[in-house]
Amino acid sequence: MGSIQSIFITKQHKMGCNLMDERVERREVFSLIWKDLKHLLGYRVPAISDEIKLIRPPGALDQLSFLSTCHRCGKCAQACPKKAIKIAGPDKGPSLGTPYLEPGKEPCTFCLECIGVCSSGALRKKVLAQEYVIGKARIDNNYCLARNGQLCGTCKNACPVDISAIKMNSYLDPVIDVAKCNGCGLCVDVCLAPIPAITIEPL
Amino acid sequence: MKFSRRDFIKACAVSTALVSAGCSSGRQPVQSKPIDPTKTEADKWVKSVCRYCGTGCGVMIGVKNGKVVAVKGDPDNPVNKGLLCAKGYYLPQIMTAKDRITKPLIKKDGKFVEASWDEAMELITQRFKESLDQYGPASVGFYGSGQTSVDETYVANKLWKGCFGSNNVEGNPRLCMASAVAGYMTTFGADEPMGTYDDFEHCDVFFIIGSNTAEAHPVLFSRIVDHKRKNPGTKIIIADPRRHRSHEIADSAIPFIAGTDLAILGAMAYVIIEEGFTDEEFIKNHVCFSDGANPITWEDYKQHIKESYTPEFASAKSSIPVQEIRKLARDFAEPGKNTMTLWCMGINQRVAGVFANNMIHNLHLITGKICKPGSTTFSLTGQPSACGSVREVGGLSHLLPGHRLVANAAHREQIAKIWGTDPAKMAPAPGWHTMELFRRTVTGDLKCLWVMCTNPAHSLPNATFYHPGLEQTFLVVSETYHPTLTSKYADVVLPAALWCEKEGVYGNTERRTQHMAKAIEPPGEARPDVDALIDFAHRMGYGEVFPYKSFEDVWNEYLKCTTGTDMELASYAALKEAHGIRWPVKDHIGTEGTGMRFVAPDDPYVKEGVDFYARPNHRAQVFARPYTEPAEMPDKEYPFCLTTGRVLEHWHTDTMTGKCPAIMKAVPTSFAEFNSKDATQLGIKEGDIVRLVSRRGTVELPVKIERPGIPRRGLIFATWFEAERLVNAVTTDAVDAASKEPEFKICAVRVEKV
Repeated sequence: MGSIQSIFITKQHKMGCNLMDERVERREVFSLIWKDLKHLLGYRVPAISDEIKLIRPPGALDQLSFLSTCHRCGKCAQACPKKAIKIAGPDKGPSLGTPYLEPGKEPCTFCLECIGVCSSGALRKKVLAQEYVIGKARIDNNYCLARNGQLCGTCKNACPVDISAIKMNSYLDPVIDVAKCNGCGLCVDVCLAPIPAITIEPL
Repeated sequence: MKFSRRDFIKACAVSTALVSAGCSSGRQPVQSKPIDPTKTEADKWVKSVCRYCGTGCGVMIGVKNGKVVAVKGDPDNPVNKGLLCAKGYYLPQIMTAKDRITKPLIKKDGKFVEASWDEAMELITQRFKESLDQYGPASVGFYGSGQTSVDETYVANKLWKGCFGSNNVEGNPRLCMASAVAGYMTTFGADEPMGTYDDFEHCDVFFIIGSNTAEAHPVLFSRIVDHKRKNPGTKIIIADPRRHRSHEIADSAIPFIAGTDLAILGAMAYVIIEEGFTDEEFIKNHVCFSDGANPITWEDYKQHIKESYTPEFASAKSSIPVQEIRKLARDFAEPGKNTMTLWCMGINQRVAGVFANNMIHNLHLITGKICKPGSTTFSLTGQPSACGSVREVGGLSHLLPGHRLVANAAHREQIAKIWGTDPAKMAPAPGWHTMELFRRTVTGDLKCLWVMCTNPAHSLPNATFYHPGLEQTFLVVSETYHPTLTSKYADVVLPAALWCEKEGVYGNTERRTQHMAKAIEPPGEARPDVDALIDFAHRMGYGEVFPYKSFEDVWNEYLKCTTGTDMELASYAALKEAHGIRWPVKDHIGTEGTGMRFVAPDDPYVKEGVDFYARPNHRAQVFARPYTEPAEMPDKEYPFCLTTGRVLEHWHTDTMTGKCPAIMKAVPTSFAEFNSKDATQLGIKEGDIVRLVSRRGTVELPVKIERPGIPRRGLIFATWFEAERLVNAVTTDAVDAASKEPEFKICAVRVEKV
């Protein structure tokens, strides 16, 4: 088990951020306590920050802030014209009652209706359209038809032109440009593999 | 960022409660399933050919417990070397679709009822006999397909032309390849490309016009990509009014106004002549000139080009700047480089389709960029056996087997002798071409029509006009699936064995004849179409000239039709062994076949150098063709140009690809693709439904904006695979005067918001 000291070091290495930032420091402390609590209880307790990462609607605050800010009122889910926003059940641990998306099943269109109805501030408007990012697509080598000898590229076609986050490496092999991907899930929706080879991973 | 102690404790409380409630989180492990068909377990692997496009990819079919469990690319087949596209991967799913019919159906009082084969065949025989007796041979027709096996078209052709005396034998290649056929026939005197896929690997400049190779012929496209990767200097020029997936590898694009490509092709010839890129030696030895009716001289041709096709004229027509047209011509004709032109429906499906084909050949002939490895004119074919089963077998109203002509008395004589039929019985005049054939169903002149392995009610242009005709004609439909748009109008539907449920032979774009072994039994009472035809022939009283017991019997008789012609085919035994053999195969011996045609030593009929032996004067003809516009250009009332085309996932009328859930999920509906500026002007956005209205009909389609391709302004691109959204209700049935191929690719429409 680590100590507060070690966390500070890791943090410094990882992010190079200001150690004196009180809020960050405090959060890490709580996180540590939480992990200790897990061990104390002897259960596999889902950690707030690490394990249950859900894909949040566009404009969501970061995970911890989101959990603490969201009123769990469900208005965003009601407002979603695609019914893509779901409300987390007990299986999602501390996220219970909060909105999340499964872009692979129902892609997000980034209509931003959800932000319009959010009164808690957990979903917030951003300045630029590119700033709305809900997740990142990842291609599984084992399932991708194109990476297993078939000519495919349906995912590339599905990726909106203004995003163009999928490139064909040597024409044959689709590759996600992580910097451009906004996690909309259109590529998962169309994946031709028997088991969709693309997953959208939370940020 | 706000995260107070209180919030944290709240979260803790919730989670602790969940822990005690026994809930857990985490990702579910995904159940694994072999994605790689080579790892699928099978009792046996059977050598065959892909059921889809004209590329002719070799496949191995994995069979387990009498079912197709996997399809993989045949690594030993030189066409695809083991590669397949996503359509090929999902071939097993087309075999077991729910709407496969397993018993013959007869329409009684407007409803289909199951019947025995005997009952169905008796009904067909009776109706055909009545019709032949009362209205004569022209009253019965056959409409086949570039997807039938060679034997099926061969038997139908023999029965109709040789026995009934009716030349009304047509096939859907009339809708896609007829202009290419006429182009090759007029210029070189012989049908089908003289080059092969091997040329791709020797080519320096690819000029791709009117073809979205990446989606319509994905495996061929991957060969081009592979070649470019290994040889980065390879230039790829794509001339197309729509920017599509093939453009990903393009070095330059020529987005001309749809329908003005003849001006570009003519102006290229202008620049080639003006800037001295012509190959005088080649022209002197191998080329002659014609104005379409009479021979002319090289000087006359130059004069014609000078007068009709200045780059300025082409630029005004096509919107491509003069300097780009000049650069295109220079790239095409660059000395010392090998140039290949690839084209497909964008050139063929036009009222000036044959002219456009001739003008492409012209460019290669005057620059001498032909008959050298990597330099050739290569038309891509859309169906797996349009070449093998229709063009070579003579399954069109003006043809006889082995590239012979109905109108030629000697040809009729030769074929009747092999068939064992009376040459006097054969009609000397060509029958009705496809559009005329279906027009005659509407006028009532055609009484009985047998449609095999194709879906004309969906695929004909101006389709709804012909639906009443199909309704009133006695219509026999040999189909695997029911209902299709066509089988709905049938009086009798015969359940057809599909693909590897029968033995067959397909012939692909590069003259490669490939044997397909039978892998599994057809379901229920489904039978190979050739069985039904032979049965029919016997019932009609022609049994003695249809004594075939096996596929081999039919093949051997067909082989005789090719003996002594310039398209001698390989023997049955050789085909079974080899992974396809390219004709001509001299004296039917061996498995080597021919690479480049008209060139020694590849072509066994050529002694030395280049010899266009299929022409009486041994010279290829360069035609002076006038600039011709499409039948219907946009105007005030119908301001947009509509063009139809393909996506990689679907094929033709989706009777097969529509059976694959993954494909249907990816591309569930046809769509209309707009340029973003046009969309803004029209006030439409992605996902809206619009109605496209032409002078003939309407169709409602969901809108896509610049995705997956980008049409130029004023152009709308639509896919046409979906039966419910019948894009062909809108397209025009105007045809090329020579090839009779309709102009699917260009018609005028207006857009209405729904």
